[in-house]
Amino acid sequence: MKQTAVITGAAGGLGNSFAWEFAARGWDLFLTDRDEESLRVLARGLQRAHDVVVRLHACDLSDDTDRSLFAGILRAETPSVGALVNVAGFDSEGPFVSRDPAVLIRMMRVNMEAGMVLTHSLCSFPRSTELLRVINVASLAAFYPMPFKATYAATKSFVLSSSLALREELSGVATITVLCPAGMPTTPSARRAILDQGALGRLTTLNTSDVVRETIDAAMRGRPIVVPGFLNRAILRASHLIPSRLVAGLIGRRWGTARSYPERRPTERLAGGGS
Amino acid sequence: MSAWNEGRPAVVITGGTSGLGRAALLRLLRSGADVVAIGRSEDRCASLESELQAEFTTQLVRVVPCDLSTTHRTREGAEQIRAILRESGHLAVDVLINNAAVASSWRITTAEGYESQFAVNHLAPFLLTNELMPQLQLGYPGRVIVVTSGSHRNGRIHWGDPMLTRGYSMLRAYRQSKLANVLFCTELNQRYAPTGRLRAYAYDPGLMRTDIGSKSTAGIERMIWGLRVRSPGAIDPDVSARALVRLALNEVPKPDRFYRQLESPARPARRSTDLRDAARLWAVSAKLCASEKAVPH
Repeated sequence: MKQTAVITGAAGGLGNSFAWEFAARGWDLFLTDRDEESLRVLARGLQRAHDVVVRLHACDLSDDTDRSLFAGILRAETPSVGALVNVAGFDSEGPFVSRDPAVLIRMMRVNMEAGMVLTHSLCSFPRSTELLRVINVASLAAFYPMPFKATYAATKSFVLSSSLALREELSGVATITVLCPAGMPTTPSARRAILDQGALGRLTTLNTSDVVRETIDAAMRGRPIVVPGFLNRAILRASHLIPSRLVAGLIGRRWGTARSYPERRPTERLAGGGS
Repeated sequence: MSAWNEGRPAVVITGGTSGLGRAALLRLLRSGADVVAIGRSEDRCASLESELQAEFTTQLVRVVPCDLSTTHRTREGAEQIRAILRESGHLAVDVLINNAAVASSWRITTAEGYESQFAVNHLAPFLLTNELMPQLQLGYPGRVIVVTSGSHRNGRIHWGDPMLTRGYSMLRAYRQSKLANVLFCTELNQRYAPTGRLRAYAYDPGLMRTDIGSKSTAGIERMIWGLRVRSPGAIDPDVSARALVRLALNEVPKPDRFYRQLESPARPARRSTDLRDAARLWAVSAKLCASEKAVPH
């Protein structure tokens, strides 16, 4: 039977690469994102290029009602869903005191809660014999406390930690694979952030389509964590040898310098503008 | 020497706000053509348009923002071009210059999921030309020029993965798109040249000092591009634009070979005139640009 891949955040660069790769492998697609028009445009491209069925449902995954509705639709589809890819997520980078708390809360709801709710919805009903392949998009940030991205990094730690735990608990029903990529060149601002980090930023950056292919392969084999890129894996290993307090200090200085965020002097604390 | 005996020729040019396109746009206007140019950035289009309209007061000058990276926007752009020309009394498009192109170090996808260089450098010219085909065939005869590059010689169409999801590199994608440009001209001439209503030319502008290679690139590619365009052999975009505008507006001396480098006819790669590949690419492109298909909920 033809299986369906459910992809959240499908209209973004990473989401549309996941959609393209699943379609190229002959999977049908069920796509969601906030903006219906972007989903339609993407669906059109996918259907022209591949012989697959593309369904779509626009919803705001930070909204409780919207999210429950979508989860309900998915539950009805459970038997045909072979993969769930939780891509939806965003960052609000910059000095903490100049962040809008409402935005940070919305970020927590999308980055942490949405994937959890959808996974719950798809695993709580009896499935066919096929394992559900869940791919959760975290970030290299999941491994570190990150100044200027404090809340974001913590949401990604949540994704990593809960995925590894659920992977054990749901064994026999689902496999859970966490993707922990470095920055990806999916949007102009992401590309600018990569360039701002200098040579290291560029060296740790990989093509999205390669990351996606590697991740789907890993998910099909039931692997727990994907860290794309040799250099990223090396940096990650090295960082495990250093206490996280020091890592946080290092990262803070790096981002602070690269993005010219204000020093933490009391006089400037309230003056920091948005990034 | 003009191919147009009376009235002003109506010329459409994409990528008109920078590099070769901008230089060509100025020369087209100085030659007295009515021009609709297309650019990516709204701000640049607006400021260039008001600047040019102040200078060229007796002819049509429009600089229209249009995102050529998706098929529906390109279709909207074609509709806008038709409307503008109709309003100023042009039923025909005499010359279409497909000049806009992008290059990127990283693989970037368009909103439709397509690889950006294939989408902007090849699919957009394919679609825009086909959308304007009725108007082009009313020309004397209509002329389609696609700005390609000598680098098409090292290109290959990746039939199994034209979006280069595997093994993407900027040059591989760029060369593929530029080879696609020449193959597209080959097929256009196959289809329309015998009718006498349309002629397609692939134009190789030489290596110019423009910034296409550094807008969205980084690291070694940016460095190498920088060295190449600053090399003594690099051509001033205006020199290249002069040859392009001659090809657009003047009678082309016989034999009018369809591939031209600057002022002279040249020989394209053999694979770019392969009729089977040309027809195959046309079919693939038509599928990727097919008009709206209902998406079931």
